[in-house]
Amino acid sequence: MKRIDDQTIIKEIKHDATYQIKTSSEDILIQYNLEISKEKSKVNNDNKKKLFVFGGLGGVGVCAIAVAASIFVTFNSNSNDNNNDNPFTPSIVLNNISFKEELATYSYFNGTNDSGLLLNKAMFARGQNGNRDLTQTDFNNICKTYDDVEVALEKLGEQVNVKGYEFNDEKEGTYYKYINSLYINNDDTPFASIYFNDINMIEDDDEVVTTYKALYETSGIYSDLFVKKEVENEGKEKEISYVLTFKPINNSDYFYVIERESEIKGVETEEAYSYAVYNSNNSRNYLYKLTYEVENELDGESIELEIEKNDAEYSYENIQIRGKSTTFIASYESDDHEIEDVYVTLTKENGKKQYASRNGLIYNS
Amino acid sequence: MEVNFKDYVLEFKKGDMSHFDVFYNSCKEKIFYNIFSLTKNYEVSEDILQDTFVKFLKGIKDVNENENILGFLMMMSRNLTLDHFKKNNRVLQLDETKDIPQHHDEHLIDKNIILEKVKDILKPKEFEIFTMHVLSELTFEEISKLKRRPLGTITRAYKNAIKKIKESMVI
Repeated sequence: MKRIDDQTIIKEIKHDATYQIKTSSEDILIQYNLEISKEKSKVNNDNKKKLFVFGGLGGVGVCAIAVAASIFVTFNSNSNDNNNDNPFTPSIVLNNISFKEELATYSYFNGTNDSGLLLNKAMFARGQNGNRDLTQTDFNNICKTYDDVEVALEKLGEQVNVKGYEFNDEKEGTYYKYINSLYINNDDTPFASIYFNDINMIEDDDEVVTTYKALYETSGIYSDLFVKKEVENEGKEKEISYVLTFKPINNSDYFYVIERESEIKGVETEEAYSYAVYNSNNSRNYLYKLTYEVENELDGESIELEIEKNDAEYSYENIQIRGKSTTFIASYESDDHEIEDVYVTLTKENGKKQYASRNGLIYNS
Repeated sequence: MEVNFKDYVLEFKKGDMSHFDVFYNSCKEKIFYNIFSLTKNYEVSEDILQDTFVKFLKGIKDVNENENILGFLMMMSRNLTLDHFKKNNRVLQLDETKDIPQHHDEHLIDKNIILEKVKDILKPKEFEIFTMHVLSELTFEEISKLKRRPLGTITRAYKNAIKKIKESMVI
């Protein structure tokens, strides 16, 4: 008895996959023509309905449209006046772009504040492999990896406020027209500032793309920041995506990319965030990536976190944060090792954190 | 044989479908197994295969003929497959076998004995990557881009798949 080699396996399976695809090119063209004719028919019917509705509205409908138009003109006019008089104008305040949380994310993960969150140092610590059963070492790895981002995760939900001013000065050798300062909740001291000039905006049918370059400062660290925002409207569905690339000025070894994708379908929204660290010499593969998903659906909210580092993947599903207690189901996978479905409870008491598994393993942070 | 998809796309944009059969037959298997890698079901894969090409033709005006058309179709078929799961209220958690449809097309099993066995041996994620590489003939880099997963994760899953198949199939 001998085991077959890789190529034989592939050959055998390819040979074995004798399934004859039934769908023919004719089937596809028939279906395509059918759908096209249905759509044409629908458009014609819709046009007829619209004609009927407007006809029925008559003079009342026309009046309503006229009133709405006048309100719109008045509103815009006021808005323009404000732009001229008030230095805190919408054009220089980032309130109208909702990626301030993403800016904050970068600060949370890369900051050197009192919380001691130095993820960019901790994240490269290599995990240790154990045997197939859950060992204390495995458990420590799983909890430590979660713990590195735990403080930042909690901060993600905090309110970020922005104040904007005209700057018209040089910073780090570049001239900037505006500065915006970011505050958490009602703090007096900003945790970050962003310096920028004019914003480029391109509109194409149902898509709007906004890009610009800025300087971002947090905890005394300056980074070049490149922002790209895309908004796509398709009927009742809307997709918004942001890509923020941070390149620290005084450390060219790494750069950081924060992405956010929001999909809005009626009352349901789906948000996906990611934070990735790349080596400047290799922009194709990241060294560390954290993905965070929140799904708000009709039946409640679900949170999932995934961390990839050192060719290993850590996933934390069904994260439930209830006051001092947090529960989640963790899994770990690397080249030669896999741990699945570890139920973990995190308890916080008197500034101390303790992670416990169902089978009695403990990790203190 | 390398097929020049660009010329076909330009023809389709003009409404000329006379070579659609050549275009379709040159790439249907790759797309089909890309879908099958997720559904594990021949009939559902047939339906999604048809939806993919119909959607492709309906949106042909917006297709950039200079981009990788096969990659575009792969991505489109994958998205439609995921939509299929969503519509059927099925959460696609690729690491959990229980959430993947396990219907077997009984009449087909005789013809695809090894593939059927592989379906049972591998975890859904491994089966998906294995099928994409072996039957859809995608490179690991292409799979990595398509799934938006690190290259290392893809090759590791593939190695695991091969290892498991080796261990279970002895001659």
